[in-house]
Amino acid sequence: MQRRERGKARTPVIATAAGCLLVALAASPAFAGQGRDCDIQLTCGQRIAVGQDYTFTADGVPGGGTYSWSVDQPGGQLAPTGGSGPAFTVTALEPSDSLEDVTVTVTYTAPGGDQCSADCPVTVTRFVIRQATFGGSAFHAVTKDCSYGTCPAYETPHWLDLDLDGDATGSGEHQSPVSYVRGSDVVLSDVEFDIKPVDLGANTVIVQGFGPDGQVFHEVAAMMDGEVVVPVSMTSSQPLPNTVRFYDTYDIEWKIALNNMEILPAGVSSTPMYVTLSNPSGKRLESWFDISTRAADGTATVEDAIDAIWEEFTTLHVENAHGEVMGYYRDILCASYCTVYDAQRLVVQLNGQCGAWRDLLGQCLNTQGVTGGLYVTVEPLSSPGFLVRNYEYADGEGTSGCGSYPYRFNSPCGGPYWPSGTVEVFDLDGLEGQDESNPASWFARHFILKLNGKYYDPSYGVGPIEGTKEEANLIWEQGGIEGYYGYCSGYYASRKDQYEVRETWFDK
Amino acid sequence: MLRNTVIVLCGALVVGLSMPATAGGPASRGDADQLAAQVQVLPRYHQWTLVEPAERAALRAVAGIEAARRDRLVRQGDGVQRGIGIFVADQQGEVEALLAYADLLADTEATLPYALPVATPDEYAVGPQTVGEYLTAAYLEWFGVDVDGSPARFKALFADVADPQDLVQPWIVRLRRVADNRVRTAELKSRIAELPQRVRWAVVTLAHKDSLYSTAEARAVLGGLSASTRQLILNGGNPLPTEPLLRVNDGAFARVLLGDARTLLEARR
Repeated sequence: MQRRERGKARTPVIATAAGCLLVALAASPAFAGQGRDCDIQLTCGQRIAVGQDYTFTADGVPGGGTYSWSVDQPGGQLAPTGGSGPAFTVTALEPSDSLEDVTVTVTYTAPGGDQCSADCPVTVTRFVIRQATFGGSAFHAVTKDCSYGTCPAYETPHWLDLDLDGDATGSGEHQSPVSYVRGSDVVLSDVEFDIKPVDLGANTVIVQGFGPDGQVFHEVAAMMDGEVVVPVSMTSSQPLPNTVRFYDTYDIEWKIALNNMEILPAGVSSTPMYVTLSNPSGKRLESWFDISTRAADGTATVEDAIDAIWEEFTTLHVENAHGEVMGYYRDILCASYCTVYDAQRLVVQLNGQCGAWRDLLGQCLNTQGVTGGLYVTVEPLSSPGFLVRNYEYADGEGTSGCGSYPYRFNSPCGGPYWPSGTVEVFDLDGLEGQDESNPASWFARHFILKLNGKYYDPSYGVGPIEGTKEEANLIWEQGGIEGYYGYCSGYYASRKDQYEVRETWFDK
Repeated sequence: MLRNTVIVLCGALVVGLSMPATAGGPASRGDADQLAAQVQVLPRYHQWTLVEPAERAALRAVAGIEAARRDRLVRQGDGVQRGIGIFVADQQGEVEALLAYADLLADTEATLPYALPVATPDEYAVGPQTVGEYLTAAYLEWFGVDVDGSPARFKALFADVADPQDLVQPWIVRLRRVADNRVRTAELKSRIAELPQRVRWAVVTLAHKDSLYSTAEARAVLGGLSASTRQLILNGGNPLPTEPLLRVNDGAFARVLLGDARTLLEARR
């Protein structure tokens, strides 16, 4: 609705934020200019948000003349600062320092040379989500990875944009990962926005946030002293999906509604979110969340989640939360040279023994609330240790002179060594383990995981192996064991595995 | 103090003891304190035989102290002694005592470090642990469930357990620990045969899965169940709804166990 008058007029104005919102500014001042034989009407916006484009339009009478636009502003609020034609599109770049400190002027030159002009006072606003803290009964804090002891939780507020540049990557800023149990409400507290100009006058303020899966946050807020503060916690209008879900970033697009009419963008808070199958158990290291939640994304049952997480381990390419690949005796042939035995150290030091990999699988399951994985030890039944494939034995019966271990074998960990040229057991490439084609392969024992009666060997990505304990044991042995080592006259020596005979034992 | 390190042992590996060995009978109060003072690490999951031979002897001896002394360690001792008391109850297979210590799940005081074997010969890993963490590990061993150091989680899982002797997993642990002793294994199987039917099927099915019962033994026991119990199993019902082991993980393990029991029963037909 517009009204044309000669002289001063009040003009209800429709301002359209590019590609975004229809903003009705009922109280916008009138902007009509009049010359001797010239009249112009200007349609303009009272408030434009930083980042928005806005098109001013003018209508000069009599028609057929020319338009000239100019911007008077204290410091780069709008660009460009001049133009021609009946429409003038600007982009809001910087917030105003005070109300209506920018003036857009259009001058119309009629065909006869008469000129008339009109002004539009503009305020460039900027609302930016400064901070938000996640919480609620289904929320679980995520800790940073650390090698020992109790790892520190990520900082709160989980979103903190101190320099108000729309990201949280600067010094002292937070973009902390959070976790929730699937199907639960997201609850936010300490939600605060920075506003410019500081004094926008009296307004009724409603804060709205739009999450990625239909979650809407809606609350009345208070505006004062350059900020909008939501005084109470905000609970999502609907719960998270009822599946495991990995959000690289859980983006909430914020908007602020002033006076129930004018809706202005207020930035995006963006935090990694891990939605788990059930309540996490044990420590809550970020990498355990990251590995398990990415892998199990979309699953909704214990069985499916286990399968999906296990599938990740079978790739033999498991990354921690920072994209670093973890290895099983990577570049190590003597197992003693690797002293990482648990998942906490593995995700930091990136190379571990079988105990560390067994632990990592268990912790990833625990993080999804899938608990009770048993710590299974595998040992030879009657030898000090075993050789994991692949090895090649020399032709013949062996020359060590010891019947139990007829083949001469030199340890990769040190002597005493059989004389050069007399060794009869040779380490070949394989079995491939996590990020290593030829990991250390002679051990006193090995560790795997047992869950729901199935055996999983995460070091080699082998499994699940089903059956009774002894059946699974034999299957595991047939797939992985090349032979056994023992002692012979002060030297190491070896014998071959008998394929059809179980010569190792699972303790559970 | 041993922390996060690897200890190189001199002794050869030995087979795990199924029962504590005490040369001179139950230790007196003074003996118990002396024995406890000699213990340096606490093995988890019954994997304590790699502990240094000298310490192994101390562990073995302390495992033989009488119940009253054990409870005194737990209830009146410091963090170290409480951990030792838990170890003693674990070694003695005192399920009721372990359950009675559930309040210690929230105990964050440090106890002796844990010891676990590693892949490499003659080495084991040692790490710090709290009393609650050690008790959590003991519960995982004995009951097959992770209570995560939480008395509330423990209560949620165990509140409906009427008789600890009816818990399934402890029977598996007992069988496992005497597996190389025919006489004691036979004794245990006799006791299992006397368990209520709703418990017996689960114990025997799980024991079969763990190769502690032969297939023939398991089929015989399951075949001896009442027709109604057999039918309940065949129909996928859970005759043991309060068993923590069968309740965790949305009953995933219960589904597996019922499937195994059905397979054993159907093979009999």
